[in-house]
Amino acid sequence: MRLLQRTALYQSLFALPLVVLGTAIGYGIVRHSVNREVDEQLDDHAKLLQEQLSHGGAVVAFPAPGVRVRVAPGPLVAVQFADTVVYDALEAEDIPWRIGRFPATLADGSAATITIGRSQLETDELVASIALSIAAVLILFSLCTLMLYRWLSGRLWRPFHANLQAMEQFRPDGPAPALAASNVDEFAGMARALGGMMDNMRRDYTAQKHFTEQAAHELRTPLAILQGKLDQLIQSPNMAEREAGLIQGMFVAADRMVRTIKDMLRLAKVGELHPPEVVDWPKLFHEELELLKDPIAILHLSVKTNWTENCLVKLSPLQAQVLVSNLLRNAVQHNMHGGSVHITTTRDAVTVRNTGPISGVDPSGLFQRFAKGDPSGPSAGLGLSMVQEIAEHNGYKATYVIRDGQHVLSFGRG
Amino acid sequence: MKVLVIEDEPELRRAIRGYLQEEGHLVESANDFPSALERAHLHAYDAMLVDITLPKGNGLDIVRAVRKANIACGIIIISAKDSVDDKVLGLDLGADDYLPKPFHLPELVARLRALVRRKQAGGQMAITIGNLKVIPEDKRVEVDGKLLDITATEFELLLFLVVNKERVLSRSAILEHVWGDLAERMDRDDFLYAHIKNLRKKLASRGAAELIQTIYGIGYRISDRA
Repeated sequence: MRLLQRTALYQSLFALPLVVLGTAIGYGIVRHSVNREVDEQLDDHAKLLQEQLSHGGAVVAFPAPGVRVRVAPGPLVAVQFADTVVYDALEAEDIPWRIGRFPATLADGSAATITIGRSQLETDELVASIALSIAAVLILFSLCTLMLYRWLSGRLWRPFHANLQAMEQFRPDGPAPALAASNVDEFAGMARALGGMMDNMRRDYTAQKHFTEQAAHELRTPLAILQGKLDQLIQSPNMAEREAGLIQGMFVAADRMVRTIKDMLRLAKVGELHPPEVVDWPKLFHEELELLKDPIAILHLSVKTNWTENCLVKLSPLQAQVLVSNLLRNAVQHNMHGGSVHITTTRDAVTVRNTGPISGVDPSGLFQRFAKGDPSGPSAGLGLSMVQEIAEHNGYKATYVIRDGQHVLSFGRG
Repeated sequence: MKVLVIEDEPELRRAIRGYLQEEGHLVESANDFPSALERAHLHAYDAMLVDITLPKGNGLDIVRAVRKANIACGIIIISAKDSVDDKVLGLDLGADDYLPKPFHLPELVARLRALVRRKQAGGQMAITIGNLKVIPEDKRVEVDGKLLDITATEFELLLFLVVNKERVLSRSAILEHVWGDLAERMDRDDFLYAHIKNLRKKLASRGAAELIQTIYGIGYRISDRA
């Protein structure tokens, strides 16, 4: 839930009891005042009657519409007021009445009780409409505050949301995002801190990339010397078996170094920002298979392809090429004589399944840089981490599992 | 062939120079920009090997100057930078080839030979060894004048051996040359061995002499000497 929606929700939850309570209190106060007024009128009326009765005057039972008077002999009572309900045959409904009892002394000196009732029909309506007005005012007030707050928050939080969006779209290899300026101290401080952090990240990223490239380039010249010397060394006639073995070891080590350097550079390049495009996967796989036809023929691998659906996995051309190349080379390199490679594309994924030795392979660690199924193998172990890198860059997922004794490498929407 | 090696790294310069001299080439070298430029203008070379990063200048400027002065000479750029941009720029300036470091010296020899072949009028330059004749331009191999049926890969392999005849070629140099990038991840010894075996079989079936020698633990050599 968004911040603004959440505050609005809390405000509404707060406003609701406020309206109810405010209306109730308003109703109570009005009711009380009205009752006091009515009671006073009843009291005045009673005083008049007491005066009349003490002089032996007669009492009119219905002195005015909605007023009733009754005098009954009895002991002297204290003045008391009460609410009651009287059935009105004319209106055919119960009508609230306010009743007051008063002591009176008749002309003959005997005690009596005067009961004066007054219909509350009109006052009730009045009180109800006043309460309703209070409720209306309160609701209106709450709504106005809510909307004002919402508008204000929207305005105040605008730089925050803009910066949040900038942060979400930030990539260390992309341009520096423009952060929204704000004259709110907290937001200005946050933008400053964020800007500094992003600048640092971009600088670190560039420095690291630069270092990788520089290191790779710097290593190339000494490697060229090493290889050159080795090429000269093997020309010596009558080389003994021992020396030949040593030299071969040096060639292998130099080769490994060359490959690692190339992979490091490629890895640095794969991370570059390019817009993803729709990829013609069958074409790309066929091209790469063509390059691999020699090793495939030597290992007698059977290659099956299954382009069942239009694949929607999008990548930049370079990334797609590196991905396909690494997937296939991995599948061929770690295969076995007479094995198979099965390529499948579905709407959301590209999958390569291959036979091959599975003992000692931990699928979970293979995506890490320099992780190798075979520690003494010729590759530097950067191939699959490139696959992983491409996946991360494009919001896809690369998975490697062993299923039915086969290696299954999938790339696509998780 | 007269070759100028422009390379500031003394050990590498020495290695290239030594290897090419053993090939029978006449090699001169320069270790910085001014001396390289001077030599390039003063002497006539069949080919130049130019490193891009040089003391006191850039190798690409040498390429530019040589082409501007219309000096007929093959140019191969040897660079520690292996980027498409550098390559395109170098070739645009008039270089004939671009060889990223590190490279195997037999690869350099093969590139030099190819360069000279391209420069020769008509380009007909067959390489003969024993009763075997390799015609690079037509991708043809003849044994005693008769065409030998050979795959493209086998041809590449044989040509690489032949242009470096009498030299021992390491397995990694051969793999790198024939399979390039692919060799990176595919260097199984049996992979190369299988191709050599097929090639030998085809040559033997046509009565070619046993020319391809195995140098134990190292690689192969083609030679018509015993």
